[in-house]
Amino acid sequence: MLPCCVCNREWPKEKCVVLTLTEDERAMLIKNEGSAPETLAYCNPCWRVLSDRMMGAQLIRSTLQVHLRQNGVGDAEQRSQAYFDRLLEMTSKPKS
Amino acid sequence: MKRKLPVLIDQAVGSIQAEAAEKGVAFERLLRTQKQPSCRTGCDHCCYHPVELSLFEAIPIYRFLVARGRWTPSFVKALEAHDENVAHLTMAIWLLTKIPCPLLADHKCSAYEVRPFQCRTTWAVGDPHYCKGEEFGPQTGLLPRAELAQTFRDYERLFAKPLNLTYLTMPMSRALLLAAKVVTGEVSVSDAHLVLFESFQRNG
Repeated sequence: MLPCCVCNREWPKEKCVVLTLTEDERAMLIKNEGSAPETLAYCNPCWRVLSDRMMGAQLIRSTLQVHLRQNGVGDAEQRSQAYFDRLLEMTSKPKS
Repeated sequence: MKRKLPVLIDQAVGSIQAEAAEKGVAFERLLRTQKQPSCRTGCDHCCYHPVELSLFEAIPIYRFLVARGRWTPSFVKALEAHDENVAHLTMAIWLLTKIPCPLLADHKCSAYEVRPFQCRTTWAVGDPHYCKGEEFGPQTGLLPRAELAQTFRDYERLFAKPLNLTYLTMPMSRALLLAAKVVTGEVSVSDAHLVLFESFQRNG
């Protein structure tokens, strides 16, 4: 059983998507949080949401907004909206 | 030829629908004597909240949509996509992902007349801005409390038991897809929970 890094529920390994972090990703996590796992497990339901361009960006936007607000950031909505727009831009197809 | 729903099930569906409408109106009347709801036509924040309902509630909605010509292949496809998206999601993730109710169209409920009990009795009594999933917190003024929903669920269970039905609630899309199968006779009512378990396992 693996804990989903999004919803925290324990899932059988075969019902999870397990991603191995790159060195850059690990370095960033270590810098920000002090430690970093080798892999991250996403349960299938959460992975379906996150791997969808729009729903994934929406979940990240909402989570960021909640996090910013809880930390007393006044313009949490604007900041999370800006990040959402950037996420969509990053994931849009390149113009031909 | 399509089989009809067993008479006893039909009676239960009718009684539950009447109870939902009656209790919903009574709740609204009581609420308006005590507070000023801030819900307005066109505000759809709560249409992005997780909604679960029983087959009893889904059957009238399915019939309503069929009668209005809204049960189209594209609508069924949208329901299937919705079902796949919300299957097994926690309520918190569902809320934050802001997945719209499949009945939401142009900021309005396309089955408002037969909407589920949960929707009938959800009222904003504060700034509607705080009804948004990502804004949920101390400032969110949403009614009712869970007890009212529980009372209604208990009422539904009263019908399920003598009919030997397994009482379950499920997301709107799954409930409507199952209601379609039951009403058209593709699945018998007593087997509905088996179909449900199967689909849950498939999506997991």
